[in-house]
Amino acid sequence: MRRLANRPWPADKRDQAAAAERLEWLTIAFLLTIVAVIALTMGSSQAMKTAWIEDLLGLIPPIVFLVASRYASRRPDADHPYGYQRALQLSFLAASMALIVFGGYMLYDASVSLFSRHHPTIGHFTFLSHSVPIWAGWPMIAALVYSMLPPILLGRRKLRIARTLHLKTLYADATMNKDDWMTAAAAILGIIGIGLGLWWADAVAAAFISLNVLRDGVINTLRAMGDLVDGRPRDVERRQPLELERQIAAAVGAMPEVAAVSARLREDGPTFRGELFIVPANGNCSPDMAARVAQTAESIDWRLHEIAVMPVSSLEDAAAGTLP
Amino acid sequence: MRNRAVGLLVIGCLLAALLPLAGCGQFPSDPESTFNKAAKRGSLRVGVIDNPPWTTRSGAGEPIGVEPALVRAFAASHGLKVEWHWLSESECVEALKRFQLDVGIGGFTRKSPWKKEVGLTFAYATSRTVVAAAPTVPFPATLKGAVVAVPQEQVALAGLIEARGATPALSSDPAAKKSGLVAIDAADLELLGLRDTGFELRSVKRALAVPPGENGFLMRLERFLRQRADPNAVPTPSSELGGPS
Repeated sequence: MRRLANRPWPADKRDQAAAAERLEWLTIAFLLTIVAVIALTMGSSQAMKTAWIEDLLGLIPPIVFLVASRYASRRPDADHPYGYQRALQLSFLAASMALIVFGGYMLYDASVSLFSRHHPTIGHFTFLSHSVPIWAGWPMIAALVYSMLPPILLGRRKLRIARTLHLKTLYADATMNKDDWMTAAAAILGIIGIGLGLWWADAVAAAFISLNVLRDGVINTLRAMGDLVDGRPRDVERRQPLELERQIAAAVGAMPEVAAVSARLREDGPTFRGELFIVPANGNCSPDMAARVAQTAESIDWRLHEIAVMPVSSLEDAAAGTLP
Repeated sequence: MRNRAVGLLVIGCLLAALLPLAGCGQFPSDPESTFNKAAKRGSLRVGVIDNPPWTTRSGAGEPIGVEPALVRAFAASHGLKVEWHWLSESECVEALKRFQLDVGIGGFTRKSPWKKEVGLTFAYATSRTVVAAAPTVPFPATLKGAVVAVPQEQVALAGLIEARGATPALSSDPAAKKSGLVAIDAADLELLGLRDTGFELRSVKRALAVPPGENGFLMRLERFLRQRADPNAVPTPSSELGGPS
Protein backbone atom coordinates (compact mmCIF):
# COMPACT_ATOMS: atom_id res chain seq x y z
CA MET A 1 0.00 0.00 0.00
CA ARG A 2 1.55 3.17 -1.13
CA ARG A 3 -0.37 5.39 1.24
CA LEU A 4 -2.35 4.94 4.38
CA ALA A 5 -5.72 6.63 3.83
CA ASN A 6 -5.06 10.26 2.92
CA ARG A 7 -1.51 10.53 4.04
CA PRO A 8 1.74 8.68 3.66
CA TRP A 9 2.71 6.00 6.14
CA PRO A 10 4.45 7.17 9.32
CA ALA A 11 8.23 7.10 8.79
CA ASP A 12 8.83 4.05 10.95
CA LYS A 13 6.18 2.04 9.07
CA ARG A 14 7.13 2.92 5.53
CA ASP A 15 9.79 0.21 5.14
CA GLN A 16 7.44 -2.43 6.38
CA ALA A 17 4.73 -1.35 3.97
CA ALA A 18 7.20 -1.66 1.10
CA ALA A 19 8.36 -5.02 2.44
CA ALA A 20 4.78 -6.25 2.56
CA GLU A 21 4.36 -5.48 -1.10
CA ARG A 22 7.62 -7.24 -2.00
CA LEU A 23 6.65 -10.31 -0.01
CA GLU A 24 3.33 -10.55 -1.78
CA TRP A 25 5.07 -10.47 -5.16
CA LEU A 26 7.43 -13.19 -3.96
CA THR A 27 4.45 -15.20 -2.75
CA ILE A 28 2.88 -15.05 -6.20
CA ALA A 29 6.14 -16.07 -7.88
CA PHE A 30 6.73 -19.03 -5.58
CA LEU A 31 3.12 -20.15 -5.73
CA LEU A 32 3.34 -20.23 -9.53
CA THR A 33 6.38 -22.52 -9.33
CA ILE A 34 4.59 -24.72 -6.81
CA VAL A 35 1.52 -24.92 -9.03
CA ALA A 36 3.70 -25.93 -11.98
CA VAL A 37 5.61 -28.59 -10.05
CA ILE A 38 2.44 -30.13 -8.65
CA ALA A 39 0.77 -30.08 -12.07
CA LEU A 40 3.71 -32.05 -13.52
CA THR A 41 3.60 -34.73 -10.85
CA MET A 42 -0.01 -35.00 -9.71
CA GLY A 43 -1.19 -37.92 -11.83
CA SER A 44 -4.44 -39.39 -10.59
CA SER A 45 -4.15 -38.58 -6.91
CA GLN A 46 -7.21 -36.81 -5.49
CA ALA A 47 -5.20 -35.34 -2.62
CA MET A 48 -2.67 -33.88 -5.05
CA LYS A 49 -5.45 -32.41 -7.16
CA THR A 50 -6.99 -30.82 -4.08
CA ALA A 51 -3.61 -29.47 -2.94
CA TRP A 52 -3.09 -28.06 -6.42
CA ILE A 53 -6.43 -26.25 -6.39
CA GLU A 54 -5.70 -24.96 -2.91
CA ASP A 55 -2.39 -23.52 -4.12
CA LEU A 56 -4.14 -21.93 -7.10
CA LEU A 57 -6.64 -20.38 -4.70
CA GLY A 58 -3.69 -19.22 -2.62
CA LEU A 59 -2.80 -16.88 -5.48
CA ILE A 60 -5.99 -14.90 -4.89
CA PRO A 61 -5.16 -13.16 -1.56
CA PRO A 62 -1.79 -11.75 -2.66
CA ILE A 63 -3.20 -10.62 -6.01
CA VAL A 64 -6.17 -9.05 -4.25
CA PHE A 65 -3.81 -7.34 -1.81
CA LEU A 66 -1.60 -5.88 -4.52
CA VAL A 67 -4.41 -4.73 -6.79
CA ALA A 68 -6.82 -3.51 -4.14
CA SER A 69 -4.16 -1.73 -2.10
CA ARG A 70 -3.24 0.38 -5.14
CA TYR A 71 -6.90 1.25 -5.49
CA ALA A 72 -7.31 1.81 -1.77
CA SER A 73 -4.44 4.31 -1.75
CA ARG A 74 -6.28 6.72 -4.01
CA ARG A 75 -7.09 10.09 -2.52
CA PRO A 76 -10.73 10.81 -1.72
CA ASP A 77 -12.64 12.58 -4.50
CA ALA A 78 -16.13 13.93 -5.14
CA ASP A 79 -17.56 10.45 -5.77
CA HIS A 80 -15.88 8.86 -2.78
CA PRO A 81 -15.43 11.55 -0.16
CA TYR A 82 -14.33 9.01 2.44
CA GLY A 83 -11.67 7.60 0.17
CA TYR A 84 -11.26 4.08 -1.21
CA GLN A 85 -9.99 2.29 1.88
CA ARG A 86 -12.79 -0.21 1.88
CA ALA A 87 -11.67 -1.60 -1.49
CA LEU A 88 -9.24 -3.89 0.25
CA GLN A 89 -11.78 -5.27 2.67
CA LEU A 90 -14.37 -5.80 -0.02
CA SER A 91 -12.01 -7.70 -2.30
CA PHE A 92 -10.93 -9.80 0.59
CA LEU A 93 -14.52 -10.64 1.35
CA ALA A 94 -14.96 -11.79 -2.24
CA ALA A 95 -11.79 -13.87 -2.09
CA SER A 96 -12.84 -15.54 1.17
CA MET A 97 -16.23 -16.44 -0.22
CA ALA A 98 -14.49 -18.00 -3.24
CA LEU A 99 -12.59 -20.19 -0.77
CA ILE A 100 -15.87 -21.33 0.76
CA VAL A 101 -17.28 -22.27 -2.63
CA PHE A 102 -14.19 -24.16 -3.74
CA GLY A 103 -13.63 -25.79 -0.37
CA GLY A 104 -17.21 -27.01 -0.39
CA TYR A 105 -16.93 -28.36 -3.92
CA MET A 106 -13.67 -30.17 -3.21
CA LEU A 107 -15.15 -31.70 -0.07
CA TYR A 108 -18.05 -32.97 -2.15
CA ASP A 109 -15.63 -34.39 -4.74
CA ALA A 110 -13.55 -36.17 -2.09
CA SER A 111 -16.66 -37.59 -0.42
CA VAL A 112 -17.94 -38.97 -3.71
CA SER A 113 -14.58 -40.71 -4.25
CA LEU A 114 -14.73 -42.16 -0.78
CA PHE A 115 -18.31 -43.36 -0.97
CA SER A 116 -17.91 -44.81 -4.45
CA ARG A 117 -14.86 -46.72 -3.13
CA HIS A 118 -12.64 -45.38 -5.87
CA HIS A 119 -9.18 -47.02 -5.85
CA PRO A 120 -6.58 -44.57 -7.22
CA THR A 121 -4.20 -46.14 -9.73
CA ILE A 122 -0.64 -44.86 -9.42
CA GLY A 123 2.03 -46.61 -11.51
CA HIS A 124 5.34 -45.45 -12.93
CA PHE A 125 6.08 -41.75 -13.22
CA THR A 126 5.70 -40.47 -16.78
CA PHE A 127 7.39 -37.22 -17.70
CA LEU A 128 6.68 -35.75 -21.13
CA SER A 129 5.49 -39.11 -22.50
CA HIS A 130 8.57 -40.93 -21.22
CA SER A 131 8.20 -43.52 -18.52
CA VAL A 132 10.67 -43.12 -15.66
CA PRO A 133 11.59 -46.18 -13.57
CA ILE A 134 10.28 -44.90 -10.24
CA TRP A 135 6.87 -45.04 -8.64
CA ALA A 136 4.92 -41.85 -9.42
CA GLY A 137 4.22 -41.43 -5.71
CA TRP A 138 7.82 -40.39 -5.04
CA PRO A 139 7.88 -37.31 -7.31
CA MET A 140 4.47 -36.44 -5.86
CA ILE A 141 5.91 -36.47 -2.35
CA ALA A 142 8.95 -34.48 -3.48
CA ALA A 143 6.69 -31.85 -5.07
CA LEU A 144 4.64 -31.64 -1.87
CA VAL A 145 7.72 -31.22 0.31
CA TYR A 146 8.81 -28.35 -1.94
CA SER A 147 5.33 -26.84 -1.74
CA MET A 148 5.60 -26.72 2.06
CA LEU A 149 8.66 -24.52 2.30
CA PRO A 150 8.07 -21.13 0.61
CA PRO A 151 4.60 -20.54 2.12
CA ILE A 152 5.82 -21.22 5.66
CA LEU A 153 8.82 -18.91 5.36
CA LEU A 154 6.96 -16.14 3.56
CA GLY A 155 3.95 -16.50 5.81
CA ARG A 156 6.01 -16.00 8.94
CA ARG A 157 7.52 -12.77 7.67
CA LYS A 158 4.20 -11.42 6.41
CA LEU A 159 2.59 -12.20 9.75
CA ARG A 160 5.07 -10.00 11.60
CA ILE A 161 4.44 -7.09 9.25
CA ALA A 162 0.69 -7.57 9.40
CA ARG A 163 0.76 -7.32 13.18
CA THR A 164 2.80 -4.14 13.11
CA LEU A 165 0.82 -2.41 10.38
CA HIS A 166 -2.59 -3.62 11.53
CA LEU A 167 -3.34 -5.02 8.06
CA LYS A 168 -6.06 -7.59 8.55
CA THR A 169 -5.99 -8.79 4.97
CA LEU A 170 -2.24 -9.39 5.05
CA TYR A 171 -2.68 -11.15 8.38
CA ALA A 172 -5.31 -13.47 6.94
CA ASP A 173 -3.14 -14.25 3.92
CA ALA A 174 -0.12 -14.93 6.16
CA THR A 175 -2.01 -17.33 8.41
CA MET A 176 -3.26 -19.23 5.38
CA ASN A 177 0.31 -19.55 4.11
CA LYS A 178 1.56 -20.78 7.45
CA ASP A 179 -1.15 -23.44 7.53
CA ASP A 180 -0.15 -24.70 4.09
CA TRP A 181 2.15 -27.23 5.69
CA MET A 182 -0.90 -29.10 6.93
CA THR A 183 -2.15 -29.46 3.37
CA ALA A 184 1.17 -30.84 2.14
CA ALA A 185 1.52 -33.14 5.15
CA ALA A 186 -1.99 -34.52 4.63
CA ALA A 187 -1.38 -35.14 0.94
CA ILE A 188 1.95 -36.87 1.68
CA LEU A 189 0.28 -39.15 4.20
CA GLY A 190 -2.44 -39.84 1.65
CA ILE A 191 0.06 -40.96 -0.98
CA ILE A 192 2.03 -43.09 1.47
CA GLY A 193 -1.28 -44.63 2.52
CA ILE A 194 -1.98 -45.56 -1.11
CA GLY A 195 1.46 -47.15 -1.30
CA LEU A 196 0.67 -49.18 1.79
CA GLY A 197 -2.51 -50.50 0.19
CA LEU A 198 -4.98 -48.16 1.94
CA TRP A 199 -7.04 -47.11 -1.09
CA TRP A 200 -9.07 -44.62 0.96
CA ALA A 201 -6.05 -42.66 2.25
CA ASP A 202 -5.92 -40.38 -0.77
CA ALA A 203 -9.61 -39.41 -0.59
CA VAL A 204 -9.44 -38.87 3.17
CA ALA A 205 -6.43 -36.58 2.73
CA ALA A 206 -8.31 -34.68 0.02
CA ALA A 207 -11.31 -34.31 2.34
CA PHE A 208 -9.06 -33.01 5.13
CA ILE A 209 -7.49 -30.45 2.83
CA SER A 210 -10.92 -29.28 1.59
CA LEU A 211 -12.10 -28.85 5.17
CA ASN A 212 -9.05 -26.69 5.80
CA VAL A 213 -9.85 -24.53 2.78
CA LEU A 214 -13.48 -24.30 3.87
CA ARG A 215 -12.40 -23.27 7.36
CA ASP A 216 -10.07 -20.59 5.99
CA GLY A 217 -12.92 -19.31 3.85
CA VAL A 218 -15.36 -19.10 6.74
CA ILE A 219 -12.94 -17.49 9.20
CA ASN A 220 -11.80 -14.89 6.70
CA THR A 221 -15.31 -14.14 5.50
CA LEU A 222 -16.30 -13.38 9.09
CA ARG A 223 -13.18 -11.25 9.54
CA ALA A 224 -13.86 -9.26 6.37
CA MET A 225 -17.52 -8.85 7.27
CA GLY A 226 -16.67 -7.66 10.76
CA ASP A 227 -14.74 -4.77 9.31
CA LEU A 228 -17.31 -3.88 6.69
CA VAL A 229 -20.05 -3.50 9.32
CA ASP A 230 -18.14 -0.72 11.10
CA GLY A 231 -17.08 -2.68 14.16
CA ARG A 232 -15.08 -1.01 16.94
CA PRO A 233 -11.29 -1.17 16.66
CA ARG A 234 -9.92 -4.57 17.62
CA ASP A 235 -6.50 -6.17 17.77
CA VAL A 236 -5.66 -7.66 14.37
CA GLU A 237 -4.72 -11.01 15.86
CA ARG A 238 -6.65 -11.63 19.03
CA ARG A 239 -9.76 -9.64 18.11
CA GLN A 240 -10.00 -8.02 21.56
CA PRO A 241 -11.26 -4.44 21.60
CA LEU A 242 -8.38 -2.02 21.84
CA GLU A 243 -10.21 0.22 24.32
CA LEU A 244 -9.07 3.31 22.44
CA GLU A 245 -12.35 5.06 23.21
CA ARG A 246 -11.48 4.98 26.90
CA GLN A 247 -7.94 6.24 26.34
CA ILE A 248 -9.19 9.10 24.18
CA ALA A 249 -11.85 10.03 26.67
CA ALA A 250 -9.22 10.09 29.43
CA ALA A 251 -6.78 12.25 27.43
CA VAL A 252 -9.39 14.69 26.12
CA GLY A 253 -11.27 14.80 29.40
CA ALA A 254 -8.06 15.97 31.05
CA MET A 255 -8.05 19.10 28.87
CA PRO A 256 -9.26 22.12 30.86
CA GLU A 257 -11.55 23.36 28.07
CA VAL A 258 -13.50 20.11 27.97
CA ALA A 259 -16.18 19.41 30.56
CA ALA A 260 -17.27 15.99 29.28
CA VAL A 261 -16.47 13.76 26.34
CA SER A 262 -17.62 10.55 24.72
CA ALA A 263 -16.29 8.85 21.61
CA ARG A 264 -17.27 6.36 18.98
CA LEU A 265 -14.73 4.74 16.68
CA ARG A 266 -14.91 2.31 13.80
CA GLU A 267 -12.43 0.29 11.82
CA ASP A 268 -11.93 1.61 8.31
CA GLY A 269 -9.46 -0.72 6.65
CA PRO A 270 -6.12 -0.38 8.43
CA THR A 271 -7.12 2.90 10.09
CA PHE A 272 -9.68 3.95 12.67
CA ARG A 273 -12.10 6.80 12.20
CA GLY A 274 -14.72 8.24 14.47
CA GLU A 275 -16.41 11.14 16.20
CA LEU A 276 -15.84 12.82 19.54
CA PHE A 277 -18.74 14.50 21.30
CA ILE A 278 -17.51 17.15 23.73
CA VAL A 279 -19.26 19.42 26.16
CA PRO A 280 -17.09 22.57 26.15
CA ALA A 281 -16.35 23.88 29.64
CA ASN A 282 -17.41 27.46 28.86
CA GLY A 283 -20.17 26.68 26.36
CA ASN A 284 -18.07 27.70 23.31
CA CYS A 285 -15.96 25.64 21.01
CA SER A 286 -13.72 27.59 18.65
CA PRO A 287 -12.20 25.98 15.54
CA ASP A 288 -8.81 26.16 17.27
CA MET A 289 -10.11 24.25 20.24
CA ALA A 290 -11.74 21.64 18.02
CA ALA A 291 -8.44 21.21 16.20
CA ARG A 292 -6.54 20.78 19.45
CA VAL A 293 -9.05 18.24 20.75
CA ALA A 294 -8.79 16.26 17.51
CA GLN A 295 -4.98 16.41 17.69
CA THR A 296 -4.97 15.13 21.27
CA ALA A 297 -7.24 12.29 20.31
CA GLU A 298 -5.30 11.27 17.21
CA SER A 299 -2.01 11.26 19.08
CA ILE A 300 -3.22 8.31 21.16
CA ASP A 301 -2.63 5.84 18.34
CA TRP A 302 -1.02 6.14 14.88
CA ARG A 303 -3.96 4.43 13.28
CA LEU A 304 -6.49 7.09 14.38
CA HIS A 305 -7.36 9.31 11.55
CA GLU A 306 -9.73 12.18 10.71
CA ILE A 307 -11.48 12.24 14.07
CA ALA A 308 -14.41 14.65 13.84
CA VAL A 309 -15.14 16.81 16.90
CA MET A 310 -18.78 17.70 17.66
CA PRO A 311 -19.57 20.20 20.41
CA VAL A 312 -22.85 19.32 22.19
CA SER A 313 -24.76 20.90 25.10
CA SER A 314 -24.84 17.69 27.06
CA LEU A 315 -23.74 14.13 26.49
CA GLU A 316 -27.37 13.06 26.11
CA ASP A 317 -27.26 14.80 22.74
CA ALA A 318 -24.35 12.65 21.64
CA ALA A 319 -25.08 9.95 19.08
CA ALA A 320 -26.04 6.51 20.27
CA GLY A 321 -23.25 4.01 20.69
CA THR A 322 -20.61 6.38 22.03
CA LEU A 323 -18.33 5.40 24.89
CA PRO A 324 -17.88 5.69 27.79
CA MET B 1 6.07 -24.38 20.42
CA ARG B 2 4.33 -24.26 17.09
CA ASN B 3 7.61 -24.32 15.21
CA ARG B 4 8.61 -27.44 17.05
CA ALA B 5 5.31 -29.07 16.16
CA VAL B 6 5.86 -28.18 12.52
CA GLY B 7 9.38 -29.57 12.62
CA LEU B 8 8.25 -32.79 14.24
CA LEU B 9 5.48 -33.34 11.76
CA VAL B 10 7.83 -32.77 8.83
CA ILE B 11 10.31 -35.25 10.23
CA GLY B 12 7.50 -37.66 10.94
CA CYS B 13 6.30 -37.46 7.36
CA LEU B 14 9.78 -38.03 6.00
CA LEU B 15 10.28 -41.03 8.26
CA ALA B 16 6.92 -42.43 7.26
CA ALA B 17 7.98 -41.99 3.67
CA LEU B 18 11.21 -43.88 4.28
CA LEU B 19 9.62 -46.69 6.26
CA PRO B 20 8.32 -48.56 3.23
CA LEU B 21 11.84 -48.60 1.81
CA ALA B 22 12.96 -50.43 4.91
CA GLY B 23 11.32 -53.39 3.32
CA CYS B 24 8.01 -53.62 5.11
CA GLY B 25 6.51 -55.65 2.31
CA GLN B 26 5.99 -54.68 -1.31
CA PHE B 27 5.72 -50.92 -1.88
CA PRO B 28 3.48 -49.88 -3.45
CA SER B 29 1.19 -52.76 -2.59
CA ASP B 30 -2.10 -54.11 -3.91
CA PRO B 31 -5.16 -53.25 -1.82
CA GLU B 32 -6.87 -56.33 -3.24
CA SER B 33 -3.72 -58.50 -3.35
CA THR B 34 -3.99 -59.11 -7.08
CA PHE B 35 -0.43 -60.34 -7.55
CA ASN B 36 -0.28 -62.48 -4.43
CA LYS B 37 -3.59 -64.12 -5.25
CA ALA B 38 -2.42 -64.82 -8.81
CA ALA B 39 0.79 -66.35 -7.47
CA LYS B 40 -1.17 -68.53 -5.08
CA ARG B 41 -3.58 -69.54 -7.82
CA GLY B 42 -0.70 -70.22 -10.19
CA SER B 43 -2.41 -68.45 -13.07
CA LEU B 44 -3.17 -64.99 -14.45
CA ARG B 45 -6.81 -64.28 -15.35
CA VAL B 46 -6.78 -62.27 -18.57
CA GLY B 47 -9.77 -60.68 -20.27
CA VAL B 48 -9.36 -60.67 -24.06
CA ILE B 49 -11.24 -58.39 -26.41
CA ASP B 50 -11.32 -59.43 -30.05
CA ASN B 51 -9.67 -56.46 -31.73
CA PRO B 52 -7.50 -57.21 -34.72
CA PRO B 53 -4.64 -56.69 -35.23
CA TRP B 54 -3.95 -56.29 -31.53
CA THR B 55 -5.82 -59.37 -30.43
CA THR B 56 -7.51 -61.94 -32.55
CA ARG B 57 -8.35 -65.65 -32.53
CA SER B 58 -6.08 -68.18 -34.11
CA GLY B 59 -7.51 -71.13 -36.03
CA ALA B 60 -7.56 -73.12 -32.81
CA GLY B 61 -9.44 -70.38 -30.97
CA GLU B 62 -6.38 -69.25 -28.96
CA PRO B 63 -5.67 -65.52 -28.64
CA ILE B 64 -2.86 -64.31 -30.85
CA GLY B 65 -1.43 -60.85 -31.53
CA VAL B 66 0.86 -58.31 -29.91
CA GLU B 67 -0.93 -58.10 -26.60
CA PRO B 68 -1.50 -61.83 -25.98
CA ALA B 69 2.20 -62.33 -26.74
CA LEU B 70 3.15 -59.73 -24.15
CA VAL B 71 0.84 -61.26 -21.56
CA ARG B 72 2.16 -64.80 -22.17
CA ALA B 73 5.72 -63.59 -21.73
CA PHE B 74 4.85 -61.66 -18.58
CA ALA B 75 3.07 -64.67 -17.06
CA ALA B 76 5.97 -66.95 -17.98
CA SER B 77 8.47 -64.60 -16.35
CA HIS B 78 6.57 -65.02 -13.07
CA GLY B 79 5.94 -68.71 -13.50
CA LEU B 80 2.21 -68.30 -14.02
CA LYS B 81 -0.19 -69.99 -16.45
CA VAL B 82 -2.78 -67.90 -18.29
CA GLU B 83 -6.57 -68.22 -18.17
CA TRP B 84 -8.10 -66.48 -21.18
CA HIS B 85 -11.61 -65.01 -21.03
CA TRP B 86 -13.07 -63.71 -24.29
CA LEU B 87 -15.23 -60.68 -23.44
CA SER B 88 -16.52 -57.43 -24.87
CA GLU B 89 -14.75 -54.26 -23.77
CA SER B 90 -17.54 -53.26 -21.34
CA GLU B 91 -17.63 -56.71 -19.76
CA CYS B 92 -13.87 -56.73 -19.46
CA VAL B 93 -13.87 -53.36 -17.74
CA GLU B 94 -16.66 -54.43 -15.41
CA ALA B 95 -14.78 -57.60 -14.46
CA LEU B 96 -11.56 -55.63 -13.83
CA LYS B 97 -13.45 -53.17 -11.65
CA ARG B 98 -14.77 -56.03 -9.56
CA PHE B 99 -11.31 -57.59 -9.33
CA GLN B 100 -12.45 -60.70 -11.16
CA LEU B 101 -9.70 -60.32 -13.75
CA ASP B 102 -6.02 -59.45 -13.45
CA VAL B 103 -5.30 -58.00 -16.90
CA GLY B 104 -7.41 -56.71 -19.77
CA ILE B 105 -6.08 -56.69 -23.33
CA GLY B 106 -7.38 -55.94 -26.81
CA GLY B 107 -6.79 -52.40 -27.88
CA PHE B 108 -6.99 -50.27 -24.73
CA THR B 109 -5.52 -46.84 -25.28
CA ARG B 110 -4.23 -44.17 -22.88
CA LYS B 111 -7.16 -41.98 -23.85
CA SER B 112 -9.67 -44.77 -23.31
CA PRO B 113 -13.07 -43.64 -22.02
CA TRP B 114 -12.56 -46.25 -19.30
CA LYS B 115 -9.46 -44.64 -17.90
CA LYS B 116 -11.15 -43.50 -14.71
CA GLU B 117 -12.70 -46.93 -14.06
CA VAL B 118 -9.68 -49.21 -14.44
CA GLY B 119 -5.93 -48.91 -14.18
CA LEU B 120 -3.95 -48.45 -17.39
CA THR B 121 -0.26 -49.08 -17.93
CA PHE B 122 1.85 -46.40 -19.55
CA ALA B 123 1.88 -46.45 -23.36
CA TYR B 124 3.86 -49.55 -24.34
CA ALA B 125 3.65 -48.55 -28.00
CA THR B 126 2.29 -45.82 -30.22
CA SER B 127 0.48 -46.78 -33.38
CA ARG B 128 0.11 -44.24 -36.15
CA THR B 129 -2.36 -44.45 -38.98
CA VAL B 130 -1.03 -42.71 -42.08
CA VAL B 131 -2.04 -42.21 -45.70
CA ALA B 132 0.26 -44.38 -47.79
CA ALA B 133 0.85 -44.28 -51.54
CA ALA B 134 1.42 -47.19 -53.91
CA PRO B 135 4.97 -47.23 -55.37
CA THR B 136 4.12 -45.51 -58.63
CA VAL B 137 1.59 -42.98 -57.31
CA PRO B 138 2.86 -39.42 -56.75
CA PHE B 139 2.42 -37.88 -53.28
CA PRO B 140 -0.59 -35.52 -53.21
CA ALA B 141 0.09 -31.93 -52.14
CA THR B 142 -3.09 -31.91 -50.06
CA LEU B 143 -5.68 -34.47 -48.99
CA LYS B 144 -8.58 -32.28 -50.06
CA GLY B 145 -10.50 -33.99 -52.85
CA ALA B 146 -8.29 -37.08 -52.84
CA VAL B 147 -9.76 -40.57 -52.60
CA VAL B 148 -8.25 -42.71 -49.85
CA ALA B 149 -8.92 -46.43 -49.62
CA VAL B 150 -9.88 -47.82 -46.25
CA PRO B 151 -9.50 -51.49 -45.30
CA GLN B 152 -12.90 -53.12 -44.85
CA GLU B 153 -12.68 -53.62 -41.10
CA GLN B 154 -11.38 -50.10 -40.32
CA VAL B 155 -14.67 -48.26 -40.89
CA ALA B 156 -13.92 -45.66 -38.21
CA LEU B 157 -11.08 -44.28 -40.33
CA ALA B 158 -13.62 -43.08 -42.89
CA GLY B 159 -14.66 -40.30 -40.51
CA LEU B 160 -11.06 -39.17 -40.01
CA ILE B 161 -10.50 -39.12 -43.75
CA GLU B 162 -13.63 -37.07 -44.37
CA ALA B 163 -12.55 -34.63 -41.68
CA ARG B 164 -9.40 -33.95 -43.70
CA GLY B 165 -11.47 -33.15 -46.80
CA ALA B 166 -10.74 -36.41 -48.63
CA THR B 167 -13.19 -39.09 -49.73
CA PRO B 168 -12.93 -42.51 -48.09
CA ALA B 169 -13.50 -45.59 -50.24
CA LEU B 170 -13.99 -48.98 -48.67
CA SER B 171 -11.94 -51.71 -50.30
CA SER B 172 -14.98 -53.24 -52.00
CA ASP B 173 -15.42 -49.99 -53.95
CA PRO B 174 -13.65 -49.99 -57.38
CA ALA B 175 -12.62 -46.35 -56.83
CA ALA B 176 -10.41 -47.55 -53.97
CA LYS B 177 -8.02 -49.42 -56.30
CA LYS B 178 -7.82 -46.51 -58.72
CA SER B 179 -6.79 -43.88 -56.17
CA GLY B 180 -3.50 -45.47 -55.16
CA LEU B 181 -3.81 -43.98 -51.67
CA VAL B 182 -4.67 -46.11 -48.66
CA ALA B 183 -4.99 -45.49 -44.92
CA ILE B 184 -2.86 -48.03 -43.05
CA ASP B 185 -0.92 -48.48 -39.84
CA ALA B 186 2.58 -47.01 -40.24
CA ALA B 187 4.09 -50.29 -39.06
CA ASP B 188 2.78 -52.07 -42.16
CA LEU B 189 4.41 -49.71 -44.70
CA GLU B 190 7.47 -51.85 -45.32
CA LEU B 191 5.55 -55.10 -45.34
CA LEU B 192 3.13 -53.88 -47.98
CA GLY B 193 5.75 -51.99 -49.97
CA LEU B 194 3.98 -48.65 -49.65
CA ARG B 195 5.36 -45.18 -48.94
CA ASP B 196 4.32 -42.69 -46.23
CA THR B 197 2.85 -39.56 -47.83
CA GLY B 198 3.42 -37.64 -44.60
CA PHE B 199 -0.28 -37.25 -43.82
CA GLU B 200 -0.98 -38.73 -40.41
CA LEU B 201 -4.62 -39.50 -39.65
CA ARG B 202 -4.21 -40.40 -35.99
CA SER B 203 -1.69 -41.42 -33.37
CA VAL B 204 -2.83 -43.76 -30.61
CA LYS B 205 -0.97 -44.74 -27.44
CA ARG B 206 -1.52 -48.42 -26.63
CA ALA B 207 -1.85 -49.70 -23.10
CA LEU B 208 -2.95 -52.73 -21.11
CA ALA B 209 -5.69 -52.56 -18.48
CA VAL B 210 -5.38 -53.72 -14.89
CA PRO B 211 -7.79 -53.61 -11.93
CA PRO B 212 -8.07 -50.10 -10.43
CA GLY B 213 -5.66 -49.27 -7.60
CA GLU B 214 -3.60 -52.47 -7.79
CA ASN B 215 -0.43 -50.45 -7.90
CA GLY B 216 2.07 -53.16 -6.96
CA PHE B 217 0.85 -55.42 -9.74
CA LEU B 218 0.78 -52.48 -12.14
CA MET B 219 4.41 -51.64 -11.32
CA ARG B 220 5.45 -55.24 -12.06
CA LEU B 221 3.62 -55.27 -15.36
CA GLU B 222 5.04 -51.89 -16.35
CA ARG B 223 8.55 -52.96 -15.41
CA PHE B 224 8.12 -55.97 -17.68
CA LEU B 225 6.85 -53.77 -20.50
CA ARG B 226 9.82 -51.41 -20.11
CA GLN B 227 12.27 -54.27 -20.49
CA ARG B 228 10.37 -55.92 -23.25
CA ALA B 229 9.49 -53.01 -25.52
CA ASP B 230 10.76 -49.50 -26.05
CA PRO B 231 7.64 -47.40 -25.42
CA ASN B 232 8.38 -45.13 -28.38
CA ALA B 233 8.83 -47.90 -30.93
CA VAL B 234 6.00 -49.07 -33.12
CA PRO B 235 5.43 -52.84 -33.10
CA THR B 236 4.57 -54.79 -36.23
CA PRO B 237 1.16 -56.26 -35.52
CA SER B 238 0.94 -58.16 -38.79
CA SER B 239 4.15 -60.05 -38.14
CA GLU B 240 2.77 -61.29 -34.83
CA LEU B 241 -0.33 -62.70 -36.44
CA GLY B 242 1.55 -65.68 -37.87
CA GLY B 243 0.53 -68.01 -35.05
CA PRO B 244 0.52 -68.49 -31.31
CA SER B 245 3.90 -67.65 -29.76
